[in-house]
Amino acid sequence: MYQEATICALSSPAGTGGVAVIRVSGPEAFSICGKLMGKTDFSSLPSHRAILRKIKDPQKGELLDEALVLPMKGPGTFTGEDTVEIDCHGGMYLCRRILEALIASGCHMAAPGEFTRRAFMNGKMDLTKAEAVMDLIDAGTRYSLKAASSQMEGRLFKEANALRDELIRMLADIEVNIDYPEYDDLPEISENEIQEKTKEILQKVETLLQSADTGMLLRDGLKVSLIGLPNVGKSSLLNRLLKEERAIVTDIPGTTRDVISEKMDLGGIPLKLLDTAGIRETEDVVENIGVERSYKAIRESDLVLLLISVLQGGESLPPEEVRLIESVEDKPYLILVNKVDQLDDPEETVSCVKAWISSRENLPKPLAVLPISAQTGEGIETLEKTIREAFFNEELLENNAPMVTNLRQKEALIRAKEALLRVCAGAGLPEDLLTIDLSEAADAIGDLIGKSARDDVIENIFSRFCLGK
Amino acid sequence: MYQDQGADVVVIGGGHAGCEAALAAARLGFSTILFAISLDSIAQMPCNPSIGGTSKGHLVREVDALGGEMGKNIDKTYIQSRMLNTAKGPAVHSLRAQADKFRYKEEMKRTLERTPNLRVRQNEIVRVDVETDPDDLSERRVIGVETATGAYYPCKRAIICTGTYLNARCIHGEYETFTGPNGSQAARGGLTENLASLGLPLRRFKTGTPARVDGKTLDLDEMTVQNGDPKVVPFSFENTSEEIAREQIPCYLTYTNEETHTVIRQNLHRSPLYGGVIHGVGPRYCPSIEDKVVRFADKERHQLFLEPEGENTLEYYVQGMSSSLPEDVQRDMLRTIPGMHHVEIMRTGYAIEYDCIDPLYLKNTLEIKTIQGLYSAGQFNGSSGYEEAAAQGLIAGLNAVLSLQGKEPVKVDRTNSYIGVLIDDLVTKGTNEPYRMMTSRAEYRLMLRQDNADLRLTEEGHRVGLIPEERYQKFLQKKQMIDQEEARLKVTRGIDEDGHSHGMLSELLKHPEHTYLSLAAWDKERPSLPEEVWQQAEIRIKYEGYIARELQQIEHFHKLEKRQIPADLDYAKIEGLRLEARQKLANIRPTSVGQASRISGVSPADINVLLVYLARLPKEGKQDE
Repeated sequence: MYQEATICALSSPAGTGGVAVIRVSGPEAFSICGKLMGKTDFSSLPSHRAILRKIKDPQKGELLDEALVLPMKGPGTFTGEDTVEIDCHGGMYLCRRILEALIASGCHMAAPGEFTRRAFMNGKMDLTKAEAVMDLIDAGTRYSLKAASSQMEGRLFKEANALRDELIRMLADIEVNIDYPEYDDLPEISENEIQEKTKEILQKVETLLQSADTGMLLRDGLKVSLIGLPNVGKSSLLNRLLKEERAIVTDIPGTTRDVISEKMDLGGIPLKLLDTAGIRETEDVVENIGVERSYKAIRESDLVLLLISVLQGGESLPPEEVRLIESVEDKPYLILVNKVDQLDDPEETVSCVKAWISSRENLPKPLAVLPISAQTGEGIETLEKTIREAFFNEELLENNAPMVTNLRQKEALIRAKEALLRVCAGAGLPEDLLTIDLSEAADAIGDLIGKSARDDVIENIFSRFCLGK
Repeated sequence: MYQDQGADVVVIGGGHAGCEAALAAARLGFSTILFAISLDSIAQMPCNPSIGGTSKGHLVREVDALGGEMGKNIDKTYIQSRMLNTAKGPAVHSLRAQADKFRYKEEMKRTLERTPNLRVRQNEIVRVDVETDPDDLSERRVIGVETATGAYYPCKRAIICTGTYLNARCIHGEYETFTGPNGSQAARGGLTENLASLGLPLRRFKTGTPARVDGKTLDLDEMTVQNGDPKVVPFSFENTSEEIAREQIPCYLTYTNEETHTVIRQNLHRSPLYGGVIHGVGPRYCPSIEDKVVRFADKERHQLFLEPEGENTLEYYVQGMSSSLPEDVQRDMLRTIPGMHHVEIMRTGYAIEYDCIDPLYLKNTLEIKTIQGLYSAGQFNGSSGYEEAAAQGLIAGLNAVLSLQGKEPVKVDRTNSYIGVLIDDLVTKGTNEPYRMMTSRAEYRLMLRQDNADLRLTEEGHRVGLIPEERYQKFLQKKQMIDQEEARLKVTRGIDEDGHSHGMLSELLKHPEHTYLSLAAWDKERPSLPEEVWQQAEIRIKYEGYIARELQQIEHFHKLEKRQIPADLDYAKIEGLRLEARQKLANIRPTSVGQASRISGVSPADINVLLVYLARLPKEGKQDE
């Protein structure tokens, strides 16, 4: 059922610009955002004044980003509700992590056009824009229909449907005994069976949830920036990667973005290589422009590939390269030592680089240091493997398992999970109370596939049990 | 044509809906006439001799809390009473009583007769007279009714409660009669044709009833005895256990077997249902025994109850054996059952078909959308069951007179009553079979308990005028006592025999192993309170977490319920609505966005589109703020 909850969404277009804006709106916007920012009490801060805050995952305590945060007290906001805008560093991975943390703290993912709709409802928007909102909502529906037909989601829908059926069946087993207590020949579902069955379903929901990161990356592609000093071999590595890729290369059409990306398939993993044009253009230009562009690409990416020149034992990296490493900040990155085909002992060189990096305490640490040859293709497979292991759940990829591919689905599953956990916590309570949370779990999973539970439970009761005067 | 002086309100039909409607109207001071084809059929129970049961018991207590009669009448005439589901949570405890169906009728008729402003008249209504507004031809209103004998009764409001009588046909095997329930005269004098000519969408539903058998031909000792509860909980909040205590009569439990099923299978070709004679839509939840044997072929036995029809009769109702097979087959199959080998049938079971309305054609006040002043209730609205009928009758009767008083309709909705769930389901979702109330239909089940029906509805019963001042004051007192005890438990520590504190009593109560009674020893200062008072305090504390969540959901529910949709909204003009949603919305015409969201085929995206559209309407937009 529709509820006037607190909603969140990325409100800048996905993947553009160096800064992404996440907007949170609704009655609990302040309290929810506060949880992510060291318990900041927004209601006591002046409205409409930006502050700098560290954003942490409230569950894991992990630092996600440092961002400019703008709390705005309703009704003087776009939606008319209390609103918080978080200007975080771009990059889908980071944005997603922040949105997930918001959802885990009680936000709902905004439906298409919902901010605008709320703005209307609260008399915040001029009426001539109404048609545009209709279009937006309509487009959203069309998009989700299209998404639903894709194969990956097809499997997810099937799995969600099966889980929901299990819940409905269990609800019917409980409800039939509540509504027909005078029948002594109805199968009674015991408290133990309810708990066991719930745990079983909970586990399946959790497996689906674990697939979410991989699934979303598979859908959107992992954003990768390739950086390095001029003449370090970026261009030839790019060509090598594009030669290696085994699927279609797509230019994102019609964009006027200054960072152009190319989508590629690296051993079954979709990568989105950022600023491929920049890599080509700046390779031969001995200018600072290249470095500036690199910074921009880094901010937008989920993973940074830093290509460096060969380092001999005892040498330091040149200060330009050190600056590049520093600019990576907290992004996951890989150091690729290029032209290893020209070396006698690549292993030695790699450990040399590793040793040097770990000796410099102030520098962010790479996920790995890999030897590579853009010329011969040596090391590309190891690169593939390293990326897969770091970002994708190997098991899911192998088994063709159903996967969660967007945040709306993930949110529905989180709601289901929480409801099922409450069923487990309620062990010992009368079963008609447990049905409250079982129905909620069925409804949450039903949201994935657009079905509501109540009538189906009754249908299930009458199709399976023999009742009546 | 003979012309009577008429009345403010005319009720067509004297069943459970008609009785409540007529009593409510008359008690609020409006002149009322109740018409029944036979006065001997007033408040008749042509099917099972019981009132209440899961969710239906809730309805009866709600009817009572609003000032209706059913609860009081069954308290006067019950012969056995049980609280069902006591092993489960308080939300699904359900009261069920066996009635002496003869005394039930008699008592109800007596109450009707003694009610001022109410005339009871035996006659069949064959025409509802409707006047069209000369200034606005789309506006029609009720102005009178006409009887089969040609008499005309002017009226301001009419309530159709024809039950299973309208154009009824009864079938047992090859034999069919155009009679109403229990062999009574059907309403075949022209009302069906008249309502159809007024544009009401009529449909045909089907239900059935089992045979009644002669008690002296039963071997009751071959069956399992089922007794009533030692301490009886009254249906009416006006009564106490002690006041209504009386000796109870048992029911008996037995089972069909393979032999029974063989008899049925061998005679299926003689069943009107399987032979294609019956076309009406029958209920899923009350299949005939032949349906059960066909649909659940691998089931070895079906459970049966023998329920006495009254104190002064030997007739027993065979619950579980509803059938429209020929009478010889009914006899043969009954004689295969333990305890019934020599049974003699007194009344044959039968299937009955009748005319009713598509309830989507009703407002949630139970007024017919297209004819002002014409209301309907009970089985005519597509429901099934005495309790469902009584609940609707009460609401239709009240709303009819409230509209005459220029007052707001009775406030019942999904969050305050099963009555609200029942009516909202009927008028929003419609039904393709006789609708039976079930606890699983209520989404706020924990709040809608049978034990707190008075707390939920007495206030409203008092507002509309059916709850007398004295009862209301008593109710307020009880409410205050509950609040006080709840507050006391939250600030009082549980101290054991050795003087150790175990924390607040309210915290202790939340553990499943503790109850209010079991904590008595640790609660020395406990005041002496009536059970219905401490029980409420206990439930509120024990299930506080769940109750709080349900209350939160209820709050959200009300937000959407408050967003009104203008009655004349042109859905064709709303761009972005999907075709299915557009058609459904235009057809059902929900009064609020909340109601719209419950229509099957209307998606959350459609609701968003609707909300945006409504916000654009200048007047509505301002009301929102």
